[in-house]
Amino acid sequence: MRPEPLRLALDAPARPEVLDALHDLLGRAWAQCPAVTGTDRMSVELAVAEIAANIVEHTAGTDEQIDMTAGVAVHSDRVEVDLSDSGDPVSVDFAAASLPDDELAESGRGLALARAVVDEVSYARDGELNRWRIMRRLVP
Amino acid sequence: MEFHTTEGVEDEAVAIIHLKGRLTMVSTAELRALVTDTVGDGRNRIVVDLSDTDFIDSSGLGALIAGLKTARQAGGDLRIACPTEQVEMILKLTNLDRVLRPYDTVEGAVGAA
Repeated sequence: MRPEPLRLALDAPARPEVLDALHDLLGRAWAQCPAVTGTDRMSVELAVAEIAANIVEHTAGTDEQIDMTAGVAVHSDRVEVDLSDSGDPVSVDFAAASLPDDELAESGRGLALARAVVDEVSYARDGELNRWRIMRRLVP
Repeated sequence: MEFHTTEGVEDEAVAIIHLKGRLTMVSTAELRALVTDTVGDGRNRIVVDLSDTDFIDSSGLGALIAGLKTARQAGGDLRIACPTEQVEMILKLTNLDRVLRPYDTVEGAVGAA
């Protein structure tokens, strides 16, 4: 019988403070799932932080408040984090994301980093929402 | 994130910026301003102590690089010391361990600054 995954969720405005809320949410997940290794934890936290920061940046400057939701599911063999935001559609190509040529570039690494540390990171438009999925298989 | 600045024990001209907490878009503006102010005060050799830095993302790296450029433009340099495991991971993933070159100790970074 497969055990039920641990599920946690959060709802918050897409402002910089949501990054701390997401870290805290993941921290609560890890506290209940001690078998998740340090490398898996750091990798998921980094990917989530990069995607969330991307959402905050792309939704800044609009008058209306944009909301984000996050759902974390810790399975026995993987961690899934689903983020969604109510902002305008975005154009993102994870396959093409790479580190900037300029070593001293101050930005432009986020999507490439997210892709490098987890097994799946994807974007889809779903009605009025942007949906972002992050999945990392757990080291057994 | 909390910031506080001290001076190098071996060399008082070196400013040591201690970062405690997470360096993300929430705190990067403050770090950039702190480095600019430190350099503006005539202290262009800076060591950033990361021993209490739980987490850095790409925005945080961008702020460290900005600080490096500010220090170098003023004829100085910025070095990082005592990276935590998470910091080491992100430096390696981005190849920035060659640009930011972490030191194992603050003293080592001060000595080389």
